[in-house]
Amino acid sequence: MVNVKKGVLVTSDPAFRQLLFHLDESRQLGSKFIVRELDDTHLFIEKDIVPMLESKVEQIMENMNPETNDNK
Amino acid sequence: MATKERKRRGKWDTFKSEDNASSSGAGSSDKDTAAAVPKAASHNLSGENSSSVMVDEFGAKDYRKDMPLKADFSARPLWVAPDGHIFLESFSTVYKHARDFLIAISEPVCRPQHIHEYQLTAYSLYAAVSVGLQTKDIIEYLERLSKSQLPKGVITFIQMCTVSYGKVKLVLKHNRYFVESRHSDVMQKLLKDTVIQSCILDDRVQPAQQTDLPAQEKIKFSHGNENDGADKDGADNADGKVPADIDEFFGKMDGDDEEDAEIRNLQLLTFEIKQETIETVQRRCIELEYPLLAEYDFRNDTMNPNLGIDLKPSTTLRPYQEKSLRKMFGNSRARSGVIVLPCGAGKTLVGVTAVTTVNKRCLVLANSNVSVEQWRAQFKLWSTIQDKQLVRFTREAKDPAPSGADATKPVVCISTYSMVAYSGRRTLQAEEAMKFIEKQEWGLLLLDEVHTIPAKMFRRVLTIVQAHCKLGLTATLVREDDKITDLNFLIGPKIYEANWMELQKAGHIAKVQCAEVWCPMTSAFYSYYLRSQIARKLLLAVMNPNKFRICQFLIKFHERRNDKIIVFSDNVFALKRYAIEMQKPFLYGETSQNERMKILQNFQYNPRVNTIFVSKVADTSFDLPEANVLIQISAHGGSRRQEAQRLGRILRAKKHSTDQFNAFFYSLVSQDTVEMGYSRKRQRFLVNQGYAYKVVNRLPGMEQEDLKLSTKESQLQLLSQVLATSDADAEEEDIKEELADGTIRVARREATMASMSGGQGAQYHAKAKAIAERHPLFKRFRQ
Amino acid sequence: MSVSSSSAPSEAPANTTGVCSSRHSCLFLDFLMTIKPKDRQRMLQKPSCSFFIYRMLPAIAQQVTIQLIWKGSFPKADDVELTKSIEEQVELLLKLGIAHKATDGKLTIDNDYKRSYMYAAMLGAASISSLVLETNNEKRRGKDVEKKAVERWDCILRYLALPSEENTEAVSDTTKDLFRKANFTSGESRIEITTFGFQFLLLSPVKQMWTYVIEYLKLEISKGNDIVEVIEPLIQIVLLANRVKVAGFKAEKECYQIDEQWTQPQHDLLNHLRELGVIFIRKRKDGVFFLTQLLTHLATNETIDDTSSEKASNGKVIVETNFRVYAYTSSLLQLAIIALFTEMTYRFADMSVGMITRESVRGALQHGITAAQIISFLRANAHPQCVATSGPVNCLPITVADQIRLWEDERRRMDLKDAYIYSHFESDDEYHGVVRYAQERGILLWANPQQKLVIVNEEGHEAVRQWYKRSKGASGDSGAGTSSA
Repeated sequence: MVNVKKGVLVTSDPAFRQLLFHLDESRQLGSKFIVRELDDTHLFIEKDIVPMLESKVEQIMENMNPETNDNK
Repeated sequence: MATKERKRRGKWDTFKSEDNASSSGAGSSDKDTAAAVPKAASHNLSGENSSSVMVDEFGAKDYRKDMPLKADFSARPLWVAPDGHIFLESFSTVYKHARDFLIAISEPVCRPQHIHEYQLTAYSLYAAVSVGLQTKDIIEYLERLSKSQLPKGVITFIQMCTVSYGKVKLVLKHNRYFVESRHSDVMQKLLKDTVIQSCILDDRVQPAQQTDLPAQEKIKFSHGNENDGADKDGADNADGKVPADIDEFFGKMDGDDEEDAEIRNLQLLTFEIKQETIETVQRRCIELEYPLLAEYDFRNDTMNPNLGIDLKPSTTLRPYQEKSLRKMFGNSRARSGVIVLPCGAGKTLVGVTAVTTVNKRCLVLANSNVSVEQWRAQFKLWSTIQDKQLVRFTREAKDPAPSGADATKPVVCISTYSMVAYSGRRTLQAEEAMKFIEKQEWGLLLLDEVHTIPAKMFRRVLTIVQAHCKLGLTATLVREDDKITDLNFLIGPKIYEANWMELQKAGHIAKVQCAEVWCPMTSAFYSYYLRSQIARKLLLAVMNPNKFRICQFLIKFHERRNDKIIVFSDNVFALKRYAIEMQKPFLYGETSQNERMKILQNFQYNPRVNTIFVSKVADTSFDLPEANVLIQISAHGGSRRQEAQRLGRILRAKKHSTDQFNAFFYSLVSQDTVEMGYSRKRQRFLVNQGYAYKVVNRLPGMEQEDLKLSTKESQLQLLSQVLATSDADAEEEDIKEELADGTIRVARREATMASMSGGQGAQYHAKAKAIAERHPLFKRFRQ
Repeated sequence: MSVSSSSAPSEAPANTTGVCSSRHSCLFLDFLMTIKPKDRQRMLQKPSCSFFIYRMLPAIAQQVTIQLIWKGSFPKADDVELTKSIEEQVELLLKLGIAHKATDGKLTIDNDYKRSYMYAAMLGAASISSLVLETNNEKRRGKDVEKKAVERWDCILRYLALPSEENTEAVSDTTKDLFRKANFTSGESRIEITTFGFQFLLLSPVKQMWTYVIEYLKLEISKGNDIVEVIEPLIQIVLLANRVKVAGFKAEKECYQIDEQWTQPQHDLLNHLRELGVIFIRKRKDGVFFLTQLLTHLATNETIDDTSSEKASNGKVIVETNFRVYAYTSSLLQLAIIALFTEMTYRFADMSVGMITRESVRGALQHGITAAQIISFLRANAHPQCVATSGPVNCLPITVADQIRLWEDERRRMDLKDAYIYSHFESDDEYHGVVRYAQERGILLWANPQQKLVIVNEEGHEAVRQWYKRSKGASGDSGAGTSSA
């Protein structure tokens, strides 16, 4: 019998996808969330994790791009 | 007067007295220098009224009430904010009237195309009075240039920081030491002080002998016929758009140390002090808030023999070089201080000219052996100096100290900071050379790239060397450790600072296109990157196959254009790997002198050697006029100075400069890694000088090229090799050199040499003979 | 609920305010086409309205109309080739109810329209307005009418750019309501600008004003008011704009009587026009209003807008390669717009300084403002110095433009879509069947034959279920239905 699951399709570049794997493995969002690894640029994940994922990603991006302006 | 023993310290270190306390090697803390820095130096405007500053609805500092505009504000070129920040319209008709003045009284913050920003600081104002600007003139002129009335706080600040400076000088004349001033009130104050009294040689304060007064001819510097308007010193008032009041004052400000007419009419008062009390007097004057300006009246120094050298007639100075020297020798004496010129703009010539002008024995300190060689070559190139007058003191070249009949003849001695600061045991020969250096009364101490030297080493040098005048040469006053204030007060005020963009526009330095090239990480590399510790993260980021391919592509691209390319890598593992794979020569700390020379010569003259890979050693070591492309594959850390220095490698002006870019600076960063953040930090200084880094995340034509690491297999193979490296390989290269504490450190361990033996390109590879000299010490070298 | 990535709200509620009207038409006419035919007909019966509508028509439509009125038919004979453009404009007339097409394809003019237009034509534009001109006496002299007018409009724009407490108090509830309904602002307790609001701010003044007025009219309809009742006085006032254009016009000299007989919505309109700065009323009890220059913005439709030329040399903003911004302006509106995406640091009487930072731009992006909007604003408002040195495109340094786009791209690193994944197909046929069907319906997001996985979008799930029902029914299979997670 065919199986159906509701979730979210994530499309991204390969490097970013690695980041998602890393978050998944290290359970930084509290639990694993990857339902299926699809291909180099796609993943299928749980829906409820999305808000936390977005905020975590934002945080990571923030860390990678520190504000470097000389403040007066 | 017989030259005293080494007990006598360098006379002209204004604030060096505290070094006595720290010279025994006890940890020098900021407190030491803090004691000898004038109280006013710790003042700054930005902190003072930050609590009371009004903020507008957008969150900006609201200075509208503090700065009501004058009626003709559009004719004036600058705004002065209550926090000491100055904004200058570079497109104003009055720009030229303002530019040099601002450099003289404030620190440039950023100077891009249209609006330049400066900051008034205690140090910058100290520098202003040191070159002869009077408090009231500074205020007056700034007021005239300003679009609004000067904020009261700014006026007070300027007064506070300058009113007591520049009034008293310590002058060495005829080998006697005089405290000199035209301000009788100040003199009275000093004379009343008991400490000073105990230092006076002669009880009576005398008006100086008329013959002593400098009615001397101004020192002239020859310069080429540069017609480019960008560098013209005179400011034109061609269309009469310049407000009259600014124009009148301009002549006064731009003139070289014409002492204020009023002041000149005052009598010059002096008193002589005992030689051994120099430091005491200096320290005491600081405490009394009248720091002594150290000046060397070399023309009247009959005790120290002349070098007898001059610039060759064919040597010409560029306008900005001449300007900086004029500031230094403004009143026919030699001032101590720092000249700031971009890399590649000809700092060396400025140094050589200063030496020929002072014409007394001179000690030049550089930061590597190769620099020493270069200085020597430059001396011979520009001046009439003879071989026997050039004495090198380095580990590799020890010219004999003059002895016998020539023992007292003046020489130009060139050495390195580390050689001089070294406090361990030396060979007999070295010991003799050091004695020679310590014993001399140097007329001029030339400090090359002074801001690359650790503060501690620097202070040590000043303890050992006695010089009448100190000139620091550097591309930037910026230091990551922020010990800038200390050092600046130790050497002397900033004498001159050039504008990078203007030099570029005038064709004195190359027009560089800076680019930050984003290299996406491959999935495999990134996957491991995310899971690794920082050291390995860095290695994975630099060994990113995409970065490799992009580097290869850029090299091919530029080689086709017949460009000369230098590739920088701080990481030695990467350096070797990249270079060997691409079959290019490479240089790093381990490379022998001979090997290095061979590679450099090939690079310069052999049309088939167009690309070389170099490590951090090249930052301080060479000077290749013909390179015009620089690729940086690994440069972690946010060092702005290093970035500026690297850029300097390709700033040498090209012979046929047009308006196009003729030099290229690529910084390759792996996307989504720490390299991105570091890269941004590094760029800050250059961005403030007006450079713009273009972000490149796509290189058209790359797909057509045949590049290595194109298959997943080859990439994975590289990955496994990277993961198998030791921690040592993962770290930055440590430059092999002697430290002040005598230990020799080295980066490589035997095991890794074996792991790296490749075979291809091994001819350029330094052989294993270096193993014998190595000690497995891994102390970090902190700048 | 649709999960979109943190990019521009492509799925935000559709903005019904067309900032670009359809070709050959204009905002006003587009609006007319949306009102009830009955109401439209009433408008066509009024001389002032017909006249105004005529003015708003594109040139060819005007010609067609004239022909129909005076000659009774169009096209004349069969020797006029009907180009696409002409056809479209005829279409426009039909939609407006000005013309009708008979069963034989012939065009005729609407009689109501004809009558009222001819009446208006006879009277002349100046007189069709029933508004009464009065000479002004000293007592009611309006001071600085023009200045005050501009200020009013500025207040409205400023509120949009920066809904601070101060700015909020300066505008009416109607305005706030209008912006919210138009989706220019969002939020309940904390009002914030949206991408559409930002887009609005970037429009030329004429477009802005027309957009605003149309929104007002829509608001009136939604309140249940009689639209014709409101449009008529509006048109009458706008028709007076001719007087403003006359050289030597002094706003203070002439004024018009406020008709006490007017209904409440009509008085409200008047008040609102006053808030706009289009007319000026010193005191209610004066019983008169004055015209202002701003009225001319409404005199023509926005497609004939030629104010853009003056903008070119009016730029005030310098952006440097080090991301610093220098704005030579004291206009609160300009500064408010700049502050939407810039961190402001210094405020002088004639100039403000700021920095474009990752944080400040991301703040703007989060509001839905796009990188393209920011870039185009900066280019359009570039200081003449910058244009002189680098040209009309690079007056904004390339590196800055690129970086702003890169910051926008950062937010698009991952694209998220609500979806359903199908796995464990019972057979190859089943798999391929679903894939084909999904493709046909345009609901397929991803599929892989080796892994036998199919992903369809959220809406598609129902369709696939139906497909299963049908295919099970067709094949007579008694297999169980799909199980949803």
